[in-house]
Amino acid sequence: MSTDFRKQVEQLDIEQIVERGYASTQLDKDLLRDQLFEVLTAMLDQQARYNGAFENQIALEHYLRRAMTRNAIRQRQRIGKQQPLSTTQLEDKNASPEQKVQYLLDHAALSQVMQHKLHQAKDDKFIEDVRSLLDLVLSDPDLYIRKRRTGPQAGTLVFQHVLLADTLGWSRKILTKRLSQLQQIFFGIS
Amino acid sequence: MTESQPKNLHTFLDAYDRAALPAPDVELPPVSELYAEERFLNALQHTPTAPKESFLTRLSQQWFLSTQRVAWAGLAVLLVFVGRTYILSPTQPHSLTRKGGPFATQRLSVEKPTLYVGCWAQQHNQFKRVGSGESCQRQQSLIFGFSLAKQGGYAYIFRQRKKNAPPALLYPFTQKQTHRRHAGKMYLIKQQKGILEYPLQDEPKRVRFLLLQTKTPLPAQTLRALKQAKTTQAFHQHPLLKTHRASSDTFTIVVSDTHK
Repeated sequence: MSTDFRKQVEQLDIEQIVERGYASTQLDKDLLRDQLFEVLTAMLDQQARYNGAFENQIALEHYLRRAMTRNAIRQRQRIGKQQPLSTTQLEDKNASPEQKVQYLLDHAALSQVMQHKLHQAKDDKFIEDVRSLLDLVLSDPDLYIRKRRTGPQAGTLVFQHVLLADTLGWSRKILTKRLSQLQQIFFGIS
Repeated sequence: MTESQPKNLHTFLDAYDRAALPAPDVELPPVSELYAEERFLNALQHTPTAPKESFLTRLSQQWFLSTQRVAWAGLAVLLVFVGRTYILSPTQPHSLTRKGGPFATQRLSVEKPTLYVGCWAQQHNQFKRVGSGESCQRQQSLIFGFSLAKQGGYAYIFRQRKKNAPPALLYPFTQKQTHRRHAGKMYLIKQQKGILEYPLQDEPKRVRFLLLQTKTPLPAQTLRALKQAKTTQAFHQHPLLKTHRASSDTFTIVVSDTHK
């Protein structure tokens, strides 16, 4: 009998996932497809673990694209055809903020991207603050990030500023400043 | 993966079910980790941007501080020359702030409302404070700051292009933006998130700016009447201003067409 996860896999559009991975990495499509099937094999081997893990098909496809891309990059690095994470890889000036989010996470874990982005920051206090902020939010994203329910931006995700500032022991001004600096670093928003 | 790898979902699932696939060599990121990361970046993307402290803002703040320094240097000189006895007499204000107060809390003159103007050359990132009657180049913009006299109140800035021309209201931009301001504190005129840069491109050779301080906000009707004043004198002596206990400062800028 098919499990929920197996049923979700059966509905996947493999070529679409490969195409999207290709758009963000320009890696060989056969490599991406092979990696996708390897990821699926590994996940199907642990079907019980992934039953109900993805709330819908889109969430599963996002996950697969990221796992596929990261493994494809890793594979390329193994054979020396891909340089480690570089600045140019992460800074596509023409990408929309939405694309940049996907692009960043396709390439590497956020902590890795953060480490890379903060590499040139000389302010130790800033680096320490940003790491504290990231660790806190990632420890319980549903607590520190909420979906806006009303207003013209209903549905968008927002940080719980008061809760974050109180937990970190920062003023709201400092929190806003740090978030703005991170926006600038990740998306070039100013 | 080998060359015999499946090329589509159907052949993949078929091979998987027959256990015909080699053991995978991949790293699977934890689902919860990716979920958290995605939410973080999405929220970061939608966080309202804090007003950026631009080069101009920093310069203007420095300008403000330098204004304070000038004022305090002047006061120090006055203390030396006029004499300790006179300054510390009970009838004279011997200090504007409490003793030992930090520099940042020191205040500007509260004797009269004062308009401050600076020339800003964006191309060269150059900012210069100017006095009334001094010149700015036409390519430059003006930056405005003001401080109010004691009791504080409401500030209005008018522009007058000719001596006998009716003044135009520059600030506040809308009636809703009228806020009570404290005395002796420097305010920079800001528009949306940045400092107002007033262009001089279309200005005549001389342009006059009037800062008006009133105790109460001016109703729209009074503002309309002021804007119809035919002369500067008529403006300052307008009967409606008396009811709002108005005081003012005037500032003239000469617009220069030549590069220095």
